[in-house]
Formats: sequence, structure tokens, C-alpha cells
Amino acid sequence: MASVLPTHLGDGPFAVATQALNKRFGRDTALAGVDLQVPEGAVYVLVGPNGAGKTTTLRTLLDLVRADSGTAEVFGMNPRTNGPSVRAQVGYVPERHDWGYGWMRVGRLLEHHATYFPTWDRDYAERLARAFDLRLDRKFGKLSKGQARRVQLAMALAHRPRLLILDEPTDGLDPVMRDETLGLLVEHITETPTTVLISTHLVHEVDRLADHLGVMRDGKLTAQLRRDELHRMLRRYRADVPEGWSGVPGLNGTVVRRSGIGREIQWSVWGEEAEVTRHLVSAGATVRDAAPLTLEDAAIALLSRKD
Amino acid sequence: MSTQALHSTPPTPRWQAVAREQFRAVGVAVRPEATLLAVLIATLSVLALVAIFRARQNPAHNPSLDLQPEMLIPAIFLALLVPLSIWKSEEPSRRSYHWSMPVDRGVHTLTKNTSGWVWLMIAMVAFLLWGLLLALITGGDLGVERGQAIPAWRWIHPFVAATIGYLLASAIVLASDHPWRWFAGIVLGFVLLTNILRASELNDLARGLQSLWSGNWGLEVALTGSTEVPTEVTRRDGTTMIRLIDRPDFHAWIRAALLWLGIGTAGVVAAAYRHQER
Amino acid sequence: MLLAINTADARPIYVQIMDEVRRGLVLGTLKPEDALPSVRQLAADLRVNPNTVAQAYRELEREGVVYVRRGQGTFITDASTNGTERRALARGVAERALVDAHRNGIGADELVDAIREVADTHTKGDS
Repeated sequence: MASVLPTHLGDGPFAVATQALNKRFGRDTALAGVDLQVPEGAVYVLVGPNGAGKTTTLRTLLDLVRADSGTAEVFGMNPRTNGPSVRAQVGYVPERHDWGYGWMRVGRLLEHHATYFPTWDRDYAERLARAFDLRLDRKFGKLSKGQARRVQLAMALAHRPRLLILDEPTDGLDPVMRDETLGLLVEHITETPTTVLISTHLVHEVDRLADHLGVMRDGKLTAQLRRDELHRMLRRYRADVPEGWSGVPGLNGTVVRRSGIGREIQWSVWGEEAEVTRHLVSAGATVRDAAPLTLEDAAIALLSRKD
Repeated sequence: MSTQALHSTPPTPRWQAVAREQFRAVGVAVRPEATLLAVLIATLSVLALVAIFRARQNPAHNPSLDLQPEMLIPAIFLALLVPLSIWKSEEPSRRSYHWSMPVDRGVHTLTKNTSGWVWLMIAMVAFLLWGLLLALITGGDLGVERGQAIPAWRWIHPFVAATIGYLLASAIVLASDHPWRWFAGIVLGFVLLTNILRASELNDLARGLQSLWSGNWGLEVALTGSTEVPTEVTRRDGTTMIRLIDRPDFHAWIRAALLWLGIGTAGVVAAAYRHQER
Repeated sequence: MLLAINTADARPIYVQIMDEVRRGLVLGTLKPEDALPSVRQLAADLRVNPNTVAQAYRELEREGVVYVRRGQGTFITDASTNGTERRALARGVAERALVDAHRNGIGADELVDAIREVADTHTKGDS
């Protein structure tokens, strides 16, 4: 029985591919061998606790951070030696909301940004400015967190990049704006062939959008897989167990989470449903239910797994 | 699909477009400080004019404002502050927007820095023209000193001195999150160290360090354009003595200026290309 | 087009979209020659990956439920497949009911009896 969560996605082609990225900041190990693989055209959601190394990994792709060892490739190019070409194809929304010239007015900042990206779509930028309700004549530095976020989103989308790297894109936005943003993002994906790499805590928002999931913890990807595989292989089993129940030896290593009331126990288990059910039944349990998990529940289960 | 992708890499912006945009953006960045300065200069000019015309009520006095390159000396101090204005709210720990643009980072930083220099030069020329206007209004001398025309190099000197100041200050602003600490630290450190060395009777070392500032190739020569020359001076009681008086000295100046331009440029380039991450 | 998508459902999202189209057909809210929303529109409305919507439309086209008019979009076919759609939907509902029943320890026969009981109560209530 496969007890190891998949961490590699096969052959590509990959919009982003890193190998064994390692990075230390002083005494802190930020990255401990990251093998990130984002297929072209995917909507890849990266989840993990704060300090797991998500932001550091994303910044490596833009050469804002240089790894101590390991390689990274964006569309086959090295971000360090081919920085300008890589960055020309990326729409980046960073974690911090004060990224941009604070003393510049929003409208002017958008024009400034447009100079650097020859693929800037003026009409689209105007549409985005209206959709995001941007105040073009306010100084960027005077905006609230949510308003600044929206400017950054417009800046990232307007030049229709091949790769969107979004670090907590809806952070600071009110619920209505978050919903709007997701709608705009989906429209963007349909109009422009794009690969999207999103790091977010608000997993439920991107549940229907994501087709790949990466789970990061302590500077490593503990799981990296396609959404449909996750849907199929990670299930929550509910079973009644008899008196004197002693567990299921055959499931060792695949049980991701376990809880229960009385003699009804619930496991989130990684594995083929038929096999897992068989193991449970042969151990004496009566399996009542084997339901798939929402992306958020799956992420929580995978993150709280004790190795 | 990957090979197709490699063939159709989106273009990076043309350098001319980036340079033009940086020039304009820097102009926007320094506008508040420039406006403040312009208001200050205008106010002082008005006060000076008022004082002059009032003094002329007395026919014995005929003051005027002369046009001399020395009036640009304050600009040298200004040059130290311009980098702070350009890179405001963009200390190295907050400079990732600038670094994330699809252009070579070193070149990009140098482009922005050079734009600042261009604006500084424009401001100095504008100030010089303003001085010319005031001199014309008050009937002052135009580029004449003790009956002789002021040599051309002395007009260029303030611009070069300001450039040196700008480069040195830029190097610090580019490299550090707390440039003021470095400004103060360098000055204080220099003064303290020379005094300590002298007090410890390490006179050779003290002189060596001192020469960085006041020696033949020192920064003082580069900035002031003059060296101290022993000159015979007649005192009021008729006796003569030798005193050190500042005299403009082209050869000393050009040597020191070129040296310090080199040092400043090297500093800026090193700071611009240094990889920083926060 | 109002769709209810649940990512914790046993059915993949594209199947849920297909079922919703079938539901529209059975209920009559979707009639032959009606246009389905564009992939872009539906994906944006549901906040769903456009590939998923495209997959649903492709499968529906393959099954003959919809057809594509070049440059104009996706439309419900003329063919009257109401019967098969009804049966497919009914089976779907039955499967979900059985899973729910099993979770509560209720067998298939018990469930069928319970359904009849409740249905009778409802009809009595109506009249």
C-alpha cells in the first residue's frame, strides 16, 4: 500500500521547476530542499504554515532571494542568470502591501509599471482599474492595505503575463472584493493562457479553481499532487469499530488524521478507496462512509500529519 | 509547447524607454523637496534685493550681487541630500519593487541614480541662471574677480564637486538602510580617529589619514578647487608674514577631482550591483 | 444559470456541472436550442477552473446532450433525451441517498420502505 504522499509531478512541461533549493537566513533554515513543480497552464495552490518557506520560494523565482544551493527554472530559464527575461513573463503580487513607490499616485504608478512591460494591455488595465475600484489620484503610500493590494493585482494582471505568482493575493481585502478578485482571476485565465501559482491561507476560496496542490512545511514540500488525484486518494472514512479495537496495522503510515466519538472513528487516509476499505473491514470495522475532502480540509489533514 | 514558448519570450523593455521613465519618475520623486528649495531661494532672493535697494538709499553704498561660481557652493551640500530624496521609502530592505522589474538590476539602479544626477545638474544650471538674473538686476559683476575674468574651469568646478558629493552620498544610500548613521559615522569617525592618532603620537598615521581630506589628492581639494598656498601677507603695522591662503589651483584640483570621481563612481557601481535581499 | 457545486461531493466538479445541466433539462428550465453560458462566463460565475467547465461541456457534447455552433457557443440539442436524463438523474439521487443511508446504518430495503412512507405522508399532506 502506497504510504508515501506524492511529491513529484512527472515530466512536465513545467512553467516552474526547482530542484533541491536550500536557503538559510543566518541561523534559520528557510528552505530545506524544495522541489517545486508547476505544470504549464496549471492553477497551483501552495499551502503551509507561516514560516514554512512559501514566500522565500516564490521570491527565489524572481531572483529577489538567491538560494544557497539547488536550481530553479522558470520556463526553462534560470532566474539568476536570465533575470530580466524571467521577470518579463511574471505578474507578481508580493506578500507585502507597500511594494511600489509610495510617493507616486496610483495612476502614475500604473503608467510607470506599464513602461516596463511592453505587453501591457491598456484597455484591460482600465477595465481592471474600474473593476477593482482604484483611486487613481491617491498616493500609493496613503492607501489602506486592501486598496494597495488591489493596485498590485491590477499591475500583475494588466500585462497578461505567462505566469502569475500571487502571494496571499486576497490578503487585506473585504469578502466582497475577495470574491470579485477570484472572478476576475478566472476571467483572466480564460482570456490569457496563464500558469497561476498562488500561495494562500484562504484555501476554501481557491478550492474550485485549483488543479494542483503543494503542501509546504519546514522548508520542504511534504506533498505535491494533482487535485483530481487528491480528490480520489485522500478520503475521510467513517467506521464503527467493535469492542477491543486495536487499530489497523495495514494502514500504518497512510493515516493522516484520526478522530472519533465513542466507537465511531473517523480517519483521513491516503490510498485507493477499495484497498483502504478492505483493510478496515478485515480489521473488524464497518465502514459507513468514504467521502472526499474539500481542499481546505485536505490541506489541514496533510499539514497536521505527524511524520 | 515549451520550445514554442522559448521562441516567443515576451520582450523586455527597451533601455531608452526605461531611462526616460526613470528620469520622469525621479522628477516626480524630488518635486516636493525641489519646490521647497525653490521657495526658499526665492524668499532669500527677495530679501537680498530688498536689503540692497534699501542700502542704496545711501549714495555712498552701492552693493550688488555678483555672479560668481562660489554661489554654487551650497549646491554641493544639496548634492548629499538628493540621493536621500530619490530613494526615499526605498531603503534596501524595501527596494524589492525596483529589483523586481524585468531589467538588469545593476543597470536599473544606475539608471535611476544617473537620472537623479541629471536633475541635480539641471537644478544647478537653473540656480546659476537665477544668479545671473539677480546680478543683472543689481548691476553686479558678471564672472569677474579682481578685474580679471574667472577662468572657465572654475565654473565647471562646482558641478564636478556636486557630482562627487552626489556619488559618495549615493553609494551610501544605495548600500545602507540607515544612510544618516553612515554620514555621521564617517565624519565623526574621521575626526575622532585623526585626533586619537595624533594624541597617541602616531603622527605619520594621523597625517596619512588627514591627507584623505586635506592632502594634495584629498577630498577637500576636489570639493573646493583650491589649495592652501603660503603667501606673503602685509599686516597693518607694515610687517610681512607667511600665511596659508586658499588659492584656486587648477592642476591640484583636476587631479583630486578625477581621483574622487573615480572613487565615487566605483562606490556607486559596487553598491548598485551588490545583491541584497531582505 | 444557478449551479450548486460542492467540492466535498464524491463526484468531480465537471460531473456536477453536467448533472446540473441535466437537471435543467429535466425540470424544463433548459429547453432544446437554449444557449449554455460561455465557458468563460460560467467559470467566472462559479469561480471554477475554466478547464473544468470545458471538460463538462466536452463530455456533454460527447453524450449528445449539447452541441457546439462554431463561433456562437454551446447549445442544448434538439433530440429529446428527456427520458435518459431523468433516469440518469434519478440514479444519481438514489446513489447519494444510499450512501447517506449506509452511513446511518440503514439498508437499501429499509430505505425504500422509508421513502414510500414519507412520500405517502407528503401526498396526504398535499391533498
